[in-house]
Amino acid sequence: MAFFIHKKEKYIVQKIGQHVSAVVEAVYLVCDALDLIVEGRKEECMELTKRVHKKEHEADIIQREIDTEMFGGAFMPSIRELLFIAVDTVDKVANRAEKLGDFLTLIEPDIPEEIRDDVREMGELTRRCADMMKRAMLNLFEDMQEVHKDTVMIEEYEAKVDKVAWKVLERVFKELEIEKFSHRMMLREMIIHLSSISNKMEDASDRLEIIALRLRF
Amino acid sequence: MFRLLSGVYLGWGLGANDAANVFGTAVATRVVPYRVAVVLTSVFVLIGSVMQGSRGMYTVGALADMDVNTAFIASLSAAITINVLTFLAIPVSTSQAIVGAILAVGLTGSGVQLGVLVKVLVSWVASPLAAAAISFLLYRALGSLIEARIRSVRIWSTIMKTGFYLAGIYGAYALGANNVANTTAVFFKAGLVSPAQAALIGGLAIGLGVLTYSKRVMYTVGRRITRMSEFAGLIAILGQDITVHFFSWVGVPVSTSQAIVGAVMGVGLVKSSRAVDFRIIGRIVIGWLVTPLAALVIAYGMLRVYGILFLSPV
Repeated sequence: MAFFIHKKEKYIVQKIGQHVSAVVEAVYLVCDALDLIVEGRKEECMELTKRVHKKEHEADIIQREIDTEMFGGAFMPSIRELLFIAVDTVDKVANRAEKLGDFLTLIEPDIPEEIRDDVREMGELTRRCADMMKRAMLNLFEDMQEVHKDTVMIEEYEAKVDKVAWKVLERVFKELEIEKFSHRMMLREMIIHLSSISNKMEDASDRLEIIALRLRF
Repeated sequence: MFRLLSGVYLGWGLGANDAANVFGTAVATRVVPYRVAVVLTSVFVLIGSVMQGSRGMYTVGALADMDVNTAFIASLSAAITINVLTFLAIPVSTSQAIVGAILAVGLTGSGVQLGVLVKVLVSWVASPLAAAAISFLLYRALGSLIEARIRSVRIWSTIMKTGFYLAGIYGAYALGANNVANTTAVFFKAGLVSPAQAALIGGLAIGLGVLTYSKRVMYTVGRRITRMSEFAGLIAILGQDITVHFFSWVGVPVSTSQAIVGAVMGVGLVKSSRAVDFRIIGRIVIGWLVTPLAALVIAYGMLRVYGILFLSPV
């Protein structure tokens, strides 16, 4: 009997892989959109943010499929609950990416020359963080002992993003000559939206680590 | 043959109560659906009873001589004891109740076989200890093996699920093999049925109890065990199964409830020496004393009444 359920679990693992891939793609797309806005290519940025929306929606649909299958009795109950929460937290990463995309499309912020490299660096670190999140999620089903290493890496990237974000905010408010205060606030908001993506990925990594730890004896 | 009804009633109660120790955790955690659990338990209890139940019949039967009427009284007294003590929330075991009732038959009749009684008493004390030791060793061995080998949540989950099914099936088999003697051994001893017939009738009675009245106890006991991790719960059940099965080879019916308590402590001991709960041990000791004594008193009273009413020397 358990072998029939095994099939269901295989299907869910496949869906979880698709879900995390869609989320990571959404993160990549929004980071690419950010690069475009840094370069002042606002039209192209808008096109990419539309694709972020699509990816986020795609991730939502997959998540619903996963939930339906999981409530049908796949996995051991304790793992089922933790996986459900982990997938939900990963899904929230796509929501954060979508929010940043919306911000870039609606506000179309002008990025001062002095912080462009830092913003690009934040985007790059966020991409790497997303790659690690995907690896950690897949390793739950391939090599659980690697999950801890992956989550440590996610934490490191998240810390780096926070560090650069702090540096950028300090420059925006203390060093740069920006005429309007509202412009400073807009930049601040953009940075907060961007760093919230890696913060959410860190939350997801905590969930994944709990699952891996749960299976130790 | 109507006298067999008391044995059927005792078997029904045993099935209703003890199925929880076999599949309770798996059902309470929704790993195994309740209906599947009770069907599997009933089928494998019957198989265990028929395949291996006779050894216990000879041991229980050897405790004292009895005729059909005294066998009926012993069986009925054990069933009444179970009901009364369960109502009073005192830990109870069918194995200990029937032995207490048979002792009353022996004490009012041709005596008790002390050698057999000692074997039974030693088994009662040994069974929770053996379950603790087996669970402790299993947890150590399988824990490190699974941790080293299993690297996927999916495979871990499948192993756990399959493990709960297999442990449940094995536990049901062991329950039938070990405990069927409690229900009908007295009738075999009285010459009313053959060992094979006794095993079949007892197995069917236990199965009926599992099918009709085990749900509430199964969820209550299952939830208590699920406070542990799933792996620890599985090992505790396996420890209980192996112990109960071992004692069916020895030929002494033991309490599955006491075996599972020992097994849970054995698993707990892997992590901390504080896992030994002296209150629970106290409850087991009370079970060892109160259940057979209560059954002995009830059976003795019924035998006296029977003696007075039917004017036959008891």
